[in-house]
Amino acid sequence: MVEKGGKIRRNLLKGIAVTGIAGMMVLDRNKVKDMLKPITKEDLEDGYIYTINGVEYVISAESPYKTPEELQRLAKEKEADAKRRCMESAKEICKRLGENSPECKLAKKHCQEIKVKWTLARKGVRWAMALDLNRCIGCRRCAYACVQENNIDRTQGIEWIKVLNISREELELIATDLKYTDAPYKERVYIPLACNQCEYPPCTMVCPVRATWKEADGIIVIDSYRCIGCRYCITACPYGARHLNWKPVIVDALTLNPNMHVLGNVPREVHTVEKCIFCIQRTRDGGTTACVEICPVGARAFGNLHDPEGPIMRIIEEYGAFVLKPNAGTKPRFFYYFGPARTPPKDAVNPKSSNWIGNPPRPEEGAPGPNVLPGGEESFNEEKKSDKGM
Amino acid sequence: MMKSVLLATLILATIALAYTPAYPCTYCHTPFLKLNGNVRKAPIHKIDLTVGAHAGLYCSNCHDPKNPMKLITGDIVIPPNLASEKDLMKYNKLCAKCHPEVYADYLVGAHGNSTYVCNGGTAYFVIGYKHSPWWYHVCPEYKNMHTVPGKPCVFCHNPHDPIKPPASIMPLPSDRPAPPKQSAIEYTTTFLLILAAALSIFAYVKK
Repeated sequence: MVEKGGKIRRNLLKGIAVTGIAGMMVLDRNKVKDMLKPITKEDLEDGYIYTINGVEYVISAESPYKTPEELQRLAKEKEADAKRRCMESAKEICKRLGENSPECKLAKKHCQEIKVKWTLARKGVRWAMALDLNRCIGCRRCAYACVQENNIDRTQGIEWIKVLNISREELELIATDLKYTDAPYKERVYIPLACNQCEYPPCTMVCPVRATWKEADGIIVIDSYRCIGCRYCITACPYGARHLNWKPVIVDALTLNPNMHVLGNVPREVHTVEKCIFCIQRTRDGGTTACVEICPVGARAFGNLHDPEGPIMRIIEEYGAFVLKPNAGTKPRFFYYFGPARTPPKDAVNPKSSNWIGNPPRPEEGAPGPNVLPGGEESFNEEKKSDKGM
Repeated sequence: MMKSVLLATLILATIALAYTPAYPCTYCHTPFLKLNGNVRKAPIHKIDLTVGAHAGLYCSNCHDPKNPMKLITGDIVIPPNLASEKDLMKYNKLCAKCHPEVYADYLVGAHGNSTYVCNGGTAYFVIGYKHSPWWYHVCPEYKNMHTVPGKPCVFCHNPHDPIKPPASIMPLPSDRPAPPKQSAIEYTTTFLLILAAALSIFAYVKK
């Protein structure tokens, strides 16, 4: 006699055996082997390579959108959404100012101009930025240009770039003055701070829904459709670079930037986190970031870190560089350096000279021959002699 | 009648001659004065090379002494209010003669001030958010853009006084909107709790 339970078990075993044999016959042996291969760290870092028009592009393995088609579909969705929100704003403007007003026409034209791109990361590219602290005057132009370029809501007080004003001698980030009204001063240093685009970003590690990830070219992006607004990443970021939209993002049709990227400056949803994305809509298509373009003293440089003839490698080799909070272990790709020339501050002794710190005034007019050193040639020689004597 | 017309023409001609921006340098320099460029001060041009970062240079260091309208690189000097950005770009070569390192930085984009151009696109200047300046780029298709040096050297650095003075400071960063008051949150929570309790009791009783 066979028990009932035993029969079921035997049938189950039979089924498994049949499935196994059928599987062996149907499936390709190599395919199964490939499936069983463990995923290494190198595989993850490489990502998925796609060749479009002869150029190799990479989709990061961390990205939830694995194929270009998926990203394209997302871009279409977001474009339709952005256009809808823009048209709502345009209708409001038309209602307020009349159908025939130039503002109304302009707003409608802007809405039609919206283009949401889905440009992928190019292979072998790692974006980085370098900032000359000797040249920065802390004028905050970069912060406000960034707001306009990236369609940030003007009513919530979100500015991705913050300019820290700290003491030049101590360089202590804790004693930061954000609300200065006059700059630059001799004793201070001005540090514009945004997302550092770390090599090991702590913010992406804590995301529970894979809404933020590091792209293959090093830009850390956020997909506002996936973000749930839990704010774990805000607490994880050591640089305070992430901001939360507390209320619905206002899309103003008149001041909208129509150049959008699907993971970048497309208008965000309510209760989602946003941050600096190195102007992904400009840089991936060959442009430069808005902050580099607007800087009145040319303190910022943006380029490919892996390019030996690019600006970043040149700056690091020529002038050296440092990063903020190196002990956080995040390996930032935002380099700060003290360059060779400094913008003369307001309290400089002689701002019109090339060496402005404590330089005595130049010789009066009519002084014969070429310019003499401030100390005079003789004293210079004496110093040399005393050096030798030592 | 003829006299007054002549007089008016004369006055107009004098004013026009005095305020012509492209006043020919050779008008004074070559035929009559024959300057050799060994000067540091030219009060008529408001140039003083005894002060500033270029103190110690002579006119002839950059200008052709025989014809000061020409630079030593061979380019013709165009008055700044007439020159286009393309013309000013030509003078970068002259700056590079003494500042090769800065020029190399400038070419690769390490001296800052780069911008992008696109096919068939333009960029126009607006005063935008918080009265900050911004270049608004309009392209038919925001693809295949090129990063180029944004401004010529002499756009920021006056060649006769090349130290770049600091620009003005923009307004303060804005504050995040204040969160609701703690008491308001407490009252709301209590009210909602009571409402939920009342609703559940009501539902229980009605069943």
